[in-house]
Amino acid sequence: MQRPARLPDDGEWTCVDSAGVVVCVGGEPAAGVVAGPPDPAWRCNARVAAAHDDLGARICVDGAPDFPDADRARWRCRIENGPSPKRVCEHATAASIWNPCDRAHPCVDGATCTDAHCVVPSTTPSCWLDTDCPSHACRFGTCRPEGAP
Amino acid sequence: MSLLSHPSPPAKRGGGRGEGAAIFLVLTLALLSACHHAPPTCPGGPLFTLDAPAAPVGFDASFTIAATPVCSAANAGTITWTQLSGPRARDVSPTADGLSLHARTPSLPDALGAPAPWGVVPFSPRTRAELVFEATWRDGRGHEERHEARVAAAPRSRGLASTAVGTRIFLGPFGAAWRLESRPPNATATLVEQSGLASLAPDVTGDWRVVDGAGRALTLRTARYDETPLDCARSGCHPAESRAVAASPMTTVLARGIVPAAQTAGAPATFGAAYPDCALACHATGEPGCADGGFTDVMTSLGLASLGARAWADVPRPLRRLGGVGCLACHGPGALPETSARWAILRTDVCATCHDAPPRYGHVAAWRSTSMARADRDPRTRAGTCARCHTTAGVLASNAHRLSPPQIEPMGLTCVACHMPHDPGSGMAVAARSAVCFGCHSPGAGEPVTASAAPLWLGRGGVEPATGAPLTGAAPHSRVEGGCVGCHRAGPSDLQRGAEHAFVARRDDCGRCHAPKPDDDVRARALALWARTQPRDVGAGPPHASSSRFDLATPRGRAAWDLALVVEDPAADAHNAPYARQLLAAAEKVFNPGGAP
Repeated sequence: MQRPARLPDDGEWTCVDSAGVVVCVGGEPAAGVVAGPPDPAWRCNARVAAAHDDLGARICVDGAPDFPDADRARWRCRIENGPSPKRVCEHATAASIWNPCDRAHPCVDGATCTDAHCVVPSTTPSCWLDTDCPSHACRFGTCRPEGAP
Repeated sequence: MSLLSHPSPPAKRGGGRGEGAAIFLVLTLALLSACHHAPPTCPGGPLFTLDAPAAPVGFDASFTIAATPVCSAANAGTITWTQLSGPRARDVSPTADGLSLHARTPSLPDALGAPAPWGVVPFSPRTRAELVFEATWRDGRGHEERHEARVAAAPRSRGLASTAVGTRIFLGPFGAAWRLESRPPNATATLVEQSGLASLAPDVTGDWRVVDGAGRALTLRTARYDETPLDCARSGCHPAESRAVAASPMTTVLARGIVPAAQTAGAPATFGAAYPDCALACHATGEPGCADGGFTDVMTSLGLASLGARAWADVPRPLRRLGGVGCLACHGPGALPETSARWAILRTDVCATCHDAPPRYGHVAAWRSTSMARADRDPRTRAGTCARCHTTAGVLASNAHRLSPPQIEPMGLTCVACHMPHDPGSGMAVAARSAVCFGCHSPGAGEPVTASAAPLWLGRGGVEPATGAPLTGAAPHSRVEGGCVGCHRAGPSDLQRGAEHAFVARRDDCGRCHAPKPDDDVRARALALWARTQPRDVGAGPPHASSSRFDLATPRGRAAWDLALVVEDPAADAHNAPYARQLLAAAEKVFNPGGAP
């Protein structure tokens, strides 16, 4: 367990571990706090649908979060949200972007198989929910292009 | 007395092998050190450390502070103990070797010094019997080393219904027969009696409902500091307040102080490279020694024994969120209290958790000496128009920019009546200096003549009785730097900081600008004329508390107004004697048309 979980900055965030990639929404500055620098591990951007709800104005993605050891493929982690979020990892075999991939073992939805490794597109994140996207498909914080499979 | 637990001189030990030989060696080294006139040191650190109880020890309870030598060089000197601050400790007894100090904390009634109020009893460093001791090591050759240790009887308390898990609270008053009506699921803590008061140390987050013997209930909302969201600005709740406090010196106190000097680029860190952990109680959020999710509790959970030397950017995120005097440091970590319990946030007790630690921090002690601290003691002052200036809630309500919960208990005119912790742009500053005083010390047109220091000081506010035209005069003191507090800045001399909150203006200070002047009789003349012209109000308290109303449409009404301005300012001659005389002369011209007294 990683307590506190690594987060994009000192603000308020809600995060999810999605197949080995951590995506966070929020970014409300913490009131009464002198903020430190943002964590450089995260790619962040404004959320496209922020005006439609109060889930959060920013999206951040950590494509290479911390794991208990170097064998990332054998860990499945989750974020326990709350004011003091924790990242809890357990041994499991569910699909992860850290699994080797080939034609017989495709990557999880939203990742592509490159040189036998799943790769999450390093695009600028912009979505949290599927409904944020014109394509109705938000994967790892990025809207899948309309018409894409 | 030696620092290494050897109360007897070495010569009496025989100087042979074993323990005595060790002592002899130590003393030899000490003598060599003295010959070279170099201060004794231990490699890389102090000669000795102090170990005091980190958690509160209770009232009327014994405690021990122990000094531990770090290296043999410490043996060259002896330790003496001094109490630096706090109420006098009882049964103080240093051990013969000087390495320990045994003592007892004061009793709860002695520490409070006043009846415990209803509800959560506030505790400042003073009233929680925070005792600061200094151990001074001296070698008799001019070298000395000092360390401080503090012991407290109880955790500090803001007196709010928003409380922290793991932090004991006390419920007043004595004999209130509190009982615990409900508590959160999985809670095991219960009410106990400590020092004559009901006491509770909440062990889980949630609502704890307590009821006193008369059936009056209070819901204590408890949480951990590190688990309370800081999204105060979200959804338009408190965006202006959140923006304002971002630049507050209280918010930034830790960040400003922690930056290693090498990185400050012209803004030297307050405390240099090594931040003193003893300052964290007031420069961060939470109560040291309590498992409350506060700064020091989280620091410990992260495996940090001390903040040490690190830049703000290198402080772990959970600590940055608790570093500084943030929202929760004043409002508490719990959920918003019930409506009936919100008034307590107005009390000086909130600020007193840090600013009532005389003699070092004497802001509250100085304030308590003022009439402002007793402004609402008389129940009549808490009603009607009087409340506007006699109660903190009234002062806040009269300012359109400030919201206030309705005041329930008397509390005087507290810190927040003048200081505006949430006002955009002002932070904790007192906005526009004198303007904050004018709200109550300057009667408005058409109102009863109330405290009138401002009109006198500024030389305006009077009315020509004959014509109704403004009656103005010179205002020599309006140029005093700092305005009101340029003169009203003195207080008890034994307070190191905050004494100016006694707001005393010393006549001696007048000599800074001009030679002493003889006492003026203007106020005595004004009071005599007032007694003659307003006889029914004499003896009924200050004129503004009387039924007097002046018809400013008539010469007599205008003359009475001018007279009341002088009568309402007990320091009229000091604020502006020429203008006071001018006002009095205008009134006398109407009331004494023939010039007779």
